[in-house]
Amino acid sequence: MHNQEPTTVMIVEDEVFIAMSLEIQLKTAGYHVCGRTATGEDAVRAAEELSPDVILMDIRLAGQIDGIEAARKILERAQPVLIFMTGYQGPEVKNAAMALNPRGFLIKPVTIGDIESLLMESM
Amino acid sequence: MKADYRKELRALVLLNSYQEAIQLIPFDKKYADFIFYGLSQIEGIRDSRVCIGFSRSPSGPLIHKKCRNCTFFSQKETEKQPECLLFDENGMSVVPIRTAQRTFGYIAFKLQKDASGNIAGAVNNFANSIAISIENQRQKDELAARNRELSAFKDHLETLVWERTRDLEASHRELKKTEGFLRAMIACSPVALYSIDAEGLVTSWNESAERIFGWSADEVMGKPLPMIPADKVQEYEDHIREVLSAGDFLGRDLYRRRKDGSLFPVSLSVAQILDDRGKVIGIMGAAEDITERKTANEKLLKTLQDKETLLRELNHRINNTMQILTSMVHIRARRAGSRDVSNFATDLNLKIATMSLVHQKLYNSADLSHISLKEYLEDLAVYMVKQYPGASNKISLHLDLEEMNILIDTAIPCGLVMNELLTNSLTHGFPPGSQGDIFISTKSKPDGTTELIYRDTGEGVPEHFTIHENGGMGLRLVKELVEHQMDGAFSFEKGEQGPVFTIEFPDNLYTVRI
Repeated sequence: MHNQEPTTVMIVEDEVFIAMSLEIQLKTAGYHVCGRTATGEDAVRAAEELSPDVILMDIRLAGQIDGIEAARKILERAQPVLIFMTGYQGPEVKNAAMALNPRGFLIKPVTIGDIESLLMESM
Repeated sequence: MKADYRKELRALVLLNSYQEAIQLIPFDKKYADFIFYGLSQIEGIRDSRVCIGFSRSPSGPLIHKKCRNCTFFSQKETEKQPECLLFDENGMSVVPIRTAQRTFGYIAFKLQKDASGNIAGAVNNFANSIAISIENQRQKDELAARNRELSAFKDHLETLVWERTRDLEASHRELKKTEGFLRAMIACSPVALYSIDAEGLVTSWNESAERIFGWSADEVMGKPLPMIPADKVQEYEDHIREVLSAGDFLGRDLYRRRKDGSLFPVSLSVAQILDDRGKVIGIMGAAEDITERKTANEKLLKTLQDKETLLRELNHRINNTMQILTSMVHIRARRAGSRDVSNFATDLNLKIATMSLVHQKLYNSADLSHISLKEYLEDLAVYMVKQYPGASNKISLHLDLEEMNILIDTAIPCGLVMNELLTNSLTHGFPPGSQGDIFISTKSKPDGTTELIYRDTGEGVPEHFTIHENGGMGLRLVKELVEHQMDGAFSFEKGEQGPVFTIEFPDNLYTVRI
């Protein structure tokens, strides 16, 4: 797939350094970062507009809805590969996230290696 | 069967001789308790004297012996009182009949001839009188015996009554004592105690019930329980049925009503009140006002929830901060554009990840103090190998880790040691194109320390390699961490199949903080 058309990735992360770092590493790894948003609401809108192949979704976000709720809304209209990345380890958060059948649920700090491992499983 | 004395007496008197008399008188000890006979021929009794012997003893024959030898008839004393004489019950002495009358209570008769000089009628009358007298006496005796029996019975009854009275008084005193004890216990109980009868009407209501519910005893006695909230009547009736059928229950949290209408939580325990035949005649209730306890519990629960929220947020913050740090390092290293800086950034980020992993394990641990060393080293080793491109394909991890929990204070330097050793192997141990193994094992030693052995099958070290002289900063850091921070021992040997690092460390350097 990398040889044909780069996989498009949208980053939903309200921490600038994290988002920037991920974007750089993903680009370096050959992915096309089509968008970065910091709120759940923006993520829903951007997902509809950009139709990314992959969404890296933080759970605790700025805005009124969290990453899980944003992902739920996105999945109502599209079927991107969903990878949650969060600092929350509690079972409640994980269970709620896993109910959406994501490709992965990563605990921060997340490395590009973690992400690539998940993406390699499907791409 | 009793003898008919009158008939026997009459028949006896009409006989002429003693010999005949004694043949007819039944001397059976069972029946005959007197003897009566005439002397010689009745018609010829001189001076109308008659000798009569009575015996109260069953041994009647003694009397007639005395009588046969009787000499008193010719004596003056006798002639002065010629009516008759009485023998005492032993037949040994003779007593004038008047004296006998006083003594024995028999009536004395004087026999007199009729106009024709016949004494038979008089004897007959006499005999009848004697018989009546005897019967009267017998009845008196029976009455006296009955009276004695009655008296004895009365005495027995009185004894019984006295004993029963004594026992009752003792029981009464004991009852009073128990009652006083119970009354004091009920009065000083901080729990509301009350009872209802089979009709559901209040039969007792202690001071605490007055204080807790607000109604005085006078207001509630003989009436239904007043503190059942209107919407809890069905529940109350269900409880009554439950107690009557299944028995007592303890400490059930319910809501009750005060006199002012306010609702409050109580812990209710109830028990059946049984009569002496085991029949349920009422129910005793004990209600404890648990408002304060419930409020305290709610506060405690809220505090606990706040703590859990705080812990969750803190954990989130730590993980997020670690991610920000690694991101910042990465961005900065990229800007520098140097391979050395890039390697430094990777190394630094792996150390951050090593410590983050401890926090992740700690958050999921049972006591927030210990983590599983086995799980931690497994995850760390796998994670580290994954961070080096291509390492997963050429290096096989062999983990033989004993299940044990260690304190976070020990786990962090242990993780950093492992980070250094893995970095060393992954960076220098396996040149491109080579393959090999990394072996990590841990086990508990009898002295309580833990032994960690790390070795790889990589290129190995030069022949005269020593940590002090030839080891890089990483290995020197390992030695420092083990010996100074972990208070352990570090040893190194080249090994036939690659370098072997042995670390022994205790887990008692720090104390549990939570």
